[in-house]
Amino acid sequence: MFDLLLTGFQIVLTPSTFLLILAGTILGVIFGAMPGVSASMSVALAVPFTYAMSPVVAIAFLVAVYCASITGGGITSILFKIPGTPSNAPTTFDGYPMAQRGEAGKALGIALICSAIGGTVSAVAMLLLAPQLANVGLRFGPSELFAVSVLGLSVLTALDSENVIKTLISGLIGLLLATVGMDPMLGIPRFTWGSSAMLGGVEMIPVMIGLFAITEVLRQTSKPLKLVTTDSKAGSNFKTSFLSWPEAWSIRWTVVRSSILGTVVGILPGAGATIAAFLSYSTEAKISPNRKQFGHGAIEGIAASETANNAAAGGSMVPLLALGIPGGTAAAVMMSALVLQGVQLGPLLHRTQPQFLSSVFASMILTNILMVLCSMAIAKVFNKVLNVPYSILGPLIVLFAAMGSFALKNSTGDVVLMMIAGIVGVAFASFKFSAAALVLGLVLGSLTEANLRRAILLEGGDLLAVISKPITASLLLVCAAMLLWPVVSGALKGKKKVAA
Amino acid sequence: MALELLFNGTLLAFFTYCFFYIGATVPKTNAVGWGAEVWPQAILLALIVLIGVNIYRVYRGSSAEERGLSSVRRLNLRSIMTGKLILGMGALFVYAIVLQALGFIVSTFVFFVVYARIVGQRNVKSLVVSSLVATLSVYFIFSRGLGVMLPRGLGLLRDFALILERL
Repeated sequence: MFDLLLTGFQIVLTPSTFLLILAGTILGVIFGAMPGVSASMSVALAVPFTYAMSPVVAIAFLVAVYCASITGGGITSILFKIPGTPSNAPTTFDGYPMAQRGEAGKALGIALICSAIGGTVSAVAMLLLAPQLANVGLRFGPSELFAVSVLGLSVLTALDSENVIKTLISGLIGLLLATVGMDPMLGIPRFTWGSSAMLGGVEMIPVMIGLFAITEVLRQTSKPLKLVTTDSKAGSNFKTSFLSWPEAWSIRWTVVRSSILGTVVGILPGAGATIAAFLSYSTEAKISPNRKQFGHGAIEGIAASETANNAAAGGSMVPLLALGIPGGTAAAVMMSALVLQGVQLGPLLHRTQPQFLSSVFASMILTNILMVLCSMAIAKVFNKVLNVPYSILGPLIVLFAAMGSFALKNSTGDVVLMMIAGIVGVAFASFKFSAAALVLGLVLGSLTEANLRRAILLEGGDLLAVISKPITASLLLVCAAMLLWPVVSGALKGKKKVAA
Repeated sequence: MALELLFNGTLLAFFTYCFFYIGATVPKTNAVGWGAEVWPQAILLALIVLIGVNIYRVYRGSSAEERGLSSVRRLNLRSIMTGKLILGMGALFVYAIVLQALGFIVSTFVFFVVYARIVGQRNVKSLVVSSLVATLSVYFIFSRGLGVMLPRGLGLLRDFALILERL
């Protein structure tokens, strides 16, 4: 274990990697602080920068962007009541009232320190849990791996429990897109319509950049020219300050509970930082001794939200590194970036390339330290950044997105694909379909199909024999429960309402 | 409601076509294991059923007034087509198509001006300066910083890009 840690820190502390992690942290904080740029979008926009990096440095860089973007989102939540990412929304409940009464610096201090603690706890959890999970995963054959892939897909309904059917349709479209190109077992072309350009399949990165970045820019196009704060006074001037010792001591259990809750929620595939932040905030609002202050500027509220969303970011790396199953959309983007570099994520990765896990751990620790220092400085200049009109910010995001897609294979075809994905994303958003579900389906599609068909081949064509294996059957039952739970709970809620 | 039904209907028609297309273009399943068409057909079948259910839900969830043909007639196609969203989509699509032929510098500069104008920037001086700065910044980040060979364009535009690269 000690050797592993040493290797990780040796990798991230080499001057070039350190500078890249610093750049990733600054980039992440800036992206995260920009309203409308989610953590997944931040990672997607950062992917093109990794094309020239080695896979280990690339994941360290992307992890830095991911962790920092979630922290960066807290800045605008506190100063302007505009959550930078959806997972920072609960931070506005108490952060903004504190800013209004002239305590913006203190609110930022709490957010940053708690983010760093949450991120560090989840990094340690990742280091301890991922190898154990990978060892279990190594005993899995194709049928069990198929069930694990389905487990990753089973969170589809949890992504938007209000629109289960539309989310399932979106996930299935993602699975269908993954079948385009050469069939993984027999090499037969599918859905290519005779075009050789389609044989390689649908590139994941342009689709993701299109769905996350272009869709958001298009949606913002018809909105106001400037991001509007509800009270310009709140974030105009502030001095950064940290908590006094008694204040810090008073939130210790909030931080401990939120770190654990955030990490556990992050590990569950698909749950993610947003659910973690809201769950942690609502838990603390119920059990905190200071619960009456919640919503009026309680330091516990900021601590709960910011600790949990960062802890979830680290937690989502556990299934990614141990089983090759992304814990969330941002992890799915990271997975596709690594697959692009020829890295085969999964249980074998820990045996063959242990430096991946250690460098991710070291990068997370380093990012958590760097982002505290960077965020304070960035927060001070962010007032001015938010004054940049969207007529400049929007096209600039499109340019980065377009060049990021182009740089993948030096092909304008990928830029066209990205634009189409962006336009489809707008239709999806308008009619409440789920872009995140489509991405999950696209990422896990080929893995699911290949393992299922391999398992069927091994069992002589008997599908029942595949799904009735003990581990496979157990996992598939869990999947069925996860898929059906939102439907059942929705029906139960409906009955209660009728009865009332 | 009409637009949503139209979107779902288009998806349903396309996926039904795909179901038969994959069946007709892929060789039949071999004796052991699944053929290349089985997995996509299973997905397509699930899609067709779910989209059918979704269309039914959308239809049932709408009021009697919305269900009639009058709701389609009320759609103001002109205002939709001249809205910022459609114009933005058009600008993006045209940019992606002409990028190869016009090259990065020219197409990006024009796209930036057009898109900023669509979003609402009216000041011409600001439009030109911000477009120029953004184009050159992205060019230097990707071309010089990351070593990406950005599209040079055709003919004279290619010569211009080559001159710029030599600077």
